[in-house]
Amino acid sequence: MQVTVKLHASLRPYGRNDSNNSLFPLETAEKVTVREVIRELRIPPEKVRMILLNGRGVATDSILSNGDRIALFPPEMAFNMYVAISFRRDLNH
Amino acid sequence: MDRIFRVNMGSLKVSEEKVTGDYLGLGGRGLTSMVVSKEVPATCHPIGQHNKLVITPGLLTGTTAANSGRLSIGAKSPLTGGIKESNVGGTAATKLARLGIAAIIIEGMPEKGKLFGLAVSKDGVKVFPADDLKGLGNYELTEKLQSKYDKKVGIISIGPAGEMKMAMASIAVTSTNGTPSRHAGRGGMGAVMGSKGLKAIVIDDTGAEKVAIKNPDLFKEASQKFVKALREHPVTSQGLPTYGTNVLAAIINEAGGYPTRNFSSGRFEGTDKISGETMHDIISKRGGKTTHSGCTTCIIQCSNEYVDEKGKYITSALEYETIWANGANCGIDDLDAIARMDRLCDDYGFDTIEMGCTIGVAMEAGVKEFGDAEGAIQLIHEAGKGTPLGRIIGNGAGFTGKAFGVVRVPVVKNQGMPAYEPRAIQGIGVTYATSTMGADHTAGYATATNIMKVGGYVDPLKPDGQMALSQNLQITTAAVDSTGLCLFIAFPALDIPECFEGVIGMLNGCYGLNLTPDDVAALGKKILKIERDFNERAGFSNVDDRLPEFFKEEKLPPHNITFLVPDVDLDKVYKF
Repeated sequence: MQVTVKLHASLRPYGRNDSNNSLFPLETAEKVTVREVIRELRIPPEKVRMILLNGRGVATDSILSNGDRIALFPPEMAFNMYVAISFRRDLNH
Repeated sequence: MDRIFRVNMGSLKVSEEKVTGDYLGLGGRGLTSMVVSKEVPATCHPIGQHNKLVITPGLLTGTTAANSGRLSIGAKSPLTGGIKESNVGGTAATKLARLGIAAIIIEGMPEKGKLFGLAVSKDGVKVFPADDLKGLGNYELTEKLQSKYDKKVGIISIGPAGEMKMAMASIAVTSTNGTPSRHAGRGGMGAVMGSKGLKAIVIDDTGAEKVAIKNPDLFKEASQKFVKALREHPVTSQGLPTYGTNVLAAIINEAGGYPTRNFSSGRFEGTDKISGETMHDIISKRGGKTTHSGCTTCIIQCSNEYVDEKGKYITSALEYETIWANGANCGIDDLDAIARMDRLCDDYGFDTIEMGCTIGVAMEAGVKEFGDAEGAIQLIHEAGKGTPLGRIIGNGAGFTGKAFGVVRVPVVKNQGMPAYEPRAIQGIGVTYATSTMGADHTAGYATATNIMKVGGYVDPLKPDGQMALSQNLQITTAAVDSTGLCLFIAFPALDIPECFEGVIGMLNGCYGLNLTPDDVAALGKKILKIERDFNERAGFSNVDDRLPEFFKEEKLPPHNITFLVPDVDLDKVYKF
């Protein structure tokens, strides 16, 4: 199946695109998780602070479907207050 | 900081008094709102003789505390008709605080057509005639005043928009680079200043003594804790200095909450062309400054200097809100054009958020096409020159919507909405609806402890938990707005407990107090109650705490949802 990946700020060099617009399609196995995509792209896990799957905040164990769009954000970009409390599951304590 | 100066623009007399009674222990927004509440009749005309313009540094301003250079400017708002505190950085707040000044209160009105300035120094406040400065834009005005006084003075001023008393007129404050690029934008404070016949305030803090600290050891320890948190946190140490506040564009757009073409979509296809990353790359390539300290004592440095293709300065601090309002909201993806619009707004003295919102409404009406950058620039010129069309534009999104018969007008209490879609981020919709300030994003940016109390994860697309969330944010924000600290301290405060401890420690050290987090929350509640009471006396009720109906009826792409928080929840925000 295929998903679309968008990388931001310091994650941009991990992209697979010569055009440098940081948005690219990625062929994956069925039922792949976000964590596996991050590993596939060789991004150190601690460099991903926020994940949006089709515009909604998710955790790394989320399973992807064909046609999904995932955007990955590094720590220095992650968040204004509303984004933080709304999208970061690890703040759920 | 215990001196209050009153300037009567009718008699041109200046008097000085000590801070006493209800004004004790307050600074920033707490003090502006208390003075407006006590001294301004709630039913008065905002640009008539009974309104007062109140200018105050925060409680920690003037000390060595990092990021403490914020200034509060308050009055009854010509835009909303309610109470207003407009918050601005730059250099003026620190200079006022170092002169021991807790507040300057501008009262009365001069003879029609007369213009004055104020010179503030260790010798007090003096009025000077300023008819020769009439009609000047903020850039030429500050250059003139800097050559007459000194390069290092701090200047608070209005451009032609303020002189014309337009409801979106801002008050400019000089940045650390001497340009009039910091603005108390929201709510038309420039129109109030213009109605007082006051063109500029020049502040020279030469010879000022250090601000007294009651417990220097405690203050120093707390201050270091605070600085450590700001330097450690990735957003304040890397994200904001590298990409500016526009770091948010990519995230909010991806989340479907980036209002596009007058709030008709939550995602803009041109965001990559105007994002923080792109802006950083353009400024770097042209030799501008991607990072720059706009405000005295700032260690975050979210500001920038945007330059043209030849490397010549256009504007300073091209910000997230400005880029969104005059960019995505108008369907414009040309960063150079947006930079020129920002420069024009700073020069004429317009609020960039209200301007972008208004142009979006004008485009909806067909006055210009969405995406027409040159047309948008022309509208700003019309407003700045006060042509008949410009008089409509200059009075804001609500006024323009009425003039052209538009239904989709994104305002609350007649104030244009900022850069977060309330259908995709429902919590901010509660803040927009219920804030005493009208649609205001900063009224709900807050710090850690209160957020944690709310209880963690709140789904932005669902109504559950949004009321309590917004309530806590608004309470904490009212308190932070009183300290003179930059709201971006909220980023580390969310993750690093020592940050908020540092803030409370600095207050305790500075004033010899024993405040606890609960005391800070109590201060926030008190301020909100005062503001709410003023608005009630001015004629507002719970029916004014609502979003325009289209938010509840039109489904917003890409999530295809409406604003779902019920009115009964909105009515609970002030039940504390």
